[in-house]
Amino acid sequence: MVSVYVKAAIATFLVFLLGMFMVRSIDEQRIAGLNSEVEKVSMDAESARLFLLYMQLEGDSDICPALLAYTGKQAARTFELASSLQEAERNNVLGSYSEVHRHYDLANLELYLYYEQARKKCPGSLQQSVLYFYEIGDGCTQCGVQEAVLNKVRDDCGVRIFAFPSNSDEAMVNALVSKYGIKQTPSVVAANSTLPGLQDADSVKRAIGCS
Amino acid sequence: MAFTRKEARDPLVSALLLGAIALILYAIFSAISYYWLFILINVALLYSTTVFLITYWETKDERPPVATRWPSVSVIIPSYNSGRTIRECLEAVKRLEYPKKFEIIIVDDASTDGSLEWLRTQKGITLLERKKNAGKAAALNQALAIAKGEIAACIDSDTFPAPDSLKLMVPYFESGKVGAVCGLVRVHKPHSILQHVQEIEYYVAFGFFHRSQAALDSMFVTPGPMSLYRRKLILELGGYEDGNITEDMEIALRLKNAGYSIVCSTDAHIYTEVPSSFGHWIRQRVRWYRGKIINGLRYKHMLFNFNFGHFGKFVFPFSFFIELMSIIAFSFIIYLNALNVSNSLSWLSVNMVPSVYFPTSPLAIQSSSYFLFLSLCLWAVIVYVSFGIAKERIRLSHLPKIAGFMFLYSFLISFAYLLSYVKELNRSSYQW
Repeated sequence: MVSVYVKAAIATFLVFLLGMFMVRSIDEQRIAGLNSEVEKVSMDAESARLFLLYMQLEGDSDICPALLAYTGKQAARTFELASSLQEAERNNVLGSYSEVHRHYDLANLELYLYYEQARKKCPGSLQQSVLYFYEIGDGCTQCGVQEAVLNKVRDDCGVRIFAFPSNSDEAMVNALVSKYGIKQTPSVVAANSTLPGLQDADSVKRAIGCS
Repeated sequence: MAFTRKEARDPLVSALLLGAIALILYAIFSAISYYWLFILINVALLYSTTVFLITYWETKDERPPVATRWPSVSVIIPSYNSGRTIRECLEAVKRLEYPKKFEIIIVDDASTDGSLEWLRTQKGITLLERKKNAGKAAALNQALAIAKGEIAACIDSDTFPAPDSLKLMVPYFESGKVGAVCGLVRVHKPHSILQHVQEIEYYVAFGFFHRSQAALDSMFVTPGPMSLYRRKLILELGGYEDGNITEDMEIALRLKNAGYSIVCSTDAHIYTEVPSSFGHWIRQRVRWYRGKIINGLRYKHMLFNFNFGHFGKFVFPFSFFIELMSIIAFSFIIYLNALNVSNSLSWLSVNMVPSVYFPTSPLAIQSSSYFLFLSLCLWAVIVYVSFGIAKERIRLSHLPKIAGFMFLYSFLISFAYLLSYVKELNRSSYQW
């Protein structure tokens, strides 16, 4: 006769498998959802590139207001996606986020570079950008608070915020980390000056000259 | 027998020990992702409850023994300042149906509330009056020594057994191996929310778990509200241990140690008063859980000892494992929430406005939390089975109590475990 312990072990193992299956499908669904969002960021970057190409070909600065509105919307969406990505990763058990992160970092970088290029093409019409450095994983306990503060700054001042993980494997992100001397997270770079640690809304606003 | 209490620990030593434990817990929390820790705890809980559930299903159709003779019974009620409940208790005891006449011994432990004066006027009882308050164990021992019954039914003065309970419990003594019999302890007239939740807890603990433990011959407590013992055997074993904060667990472990079984008749319903306020509840629980630690250490030779069957190899050690897991989970939840509170305070400090910062969107629930769903399903089955054991039907009005029991009560229990271990480590004084 099979012992009660063996029966319970078999039943527990089956329930464990079912649980892991549930967890895996939830994680995969989240990753699929984020992948599709990142894909949209990628397409936005492509659109920004086309805007710039058109300006280079036609020398037409009349499209600056349209570019301003467009990039503003995309930057906001991208910044929010950084928060969602961190949140989903914090709540992940079995899914792998390295691909999604890399994809996002590349698309975000591309968008940032196009935005900076567009600012040069449309002097005075585009708001300066704010860089925000966070950390992938559980290491940055105050990043959530910083994101909430930056959301407020964005709403009050209309700045474009680009979020990058300071511990990314991406060479270009590392170049930015090294350029701005990011040593801790969260860190904010506003008007080319680095503000290390958790910043309140007034400090960021002062740095970008938004009263 | 008398229990020797250890001297209080030096506060500095206690602080160092607690600090060391906090550091160990912090190291665990830093080294293991919390979702894996929760999954591990869930799996451990799933396994242990499945063992009990399978045991229940395999033995649920077993019929209770039939009495071939009815032994003499002495009902013993220790009473201390129980003026509010002793009258109803005595009435319930007098209503007990038993084929033979049984004696009722009430030991007044130097009451000061007038209950002694009332007891002096009662007929049909043997009243023992103690001049100095010496505690429940001493009162029971005095009564056991003079009792004439083959079976001693020890009943708390705030307990009201159902009329048929004695008749249902005694036949279990047909087996010479049985040293004690207990019934299904239920909550008497619950009125506060806490009492309503305890009502469900008692169905589960004294119904489902005791029945399954009894089927595995692994019961390790003879509940204080009402338990029956072979009187001579208890005297041979030295009687109740004077001063032990959970003398009902100690006597049960002594019986197990001597090779006797403790069985459970879940058809015998015993109604008892339970704490209505959180303060009273936590004092009671800390006493119970500290008593378990003390008696667990005393009888540690039974842990993982296969000579004691299911009790030694699984039930007793796993009961401690589950307690420790609950403490780790509870500490982890506190740790994570402390981080969130610290973030919320940061948010307040950077905004200088009384806003609320939610660190996580309610929709982004941690994936391992979904794993908890399976544990909850299993517990729903256990609650359902427990209602069946108590011969109660689940009504709509029970659902809020069940939800309170399944979702919130476990946190209170874990907190009580944590407090008990800390107090025992500190060797704090005992409170009733």
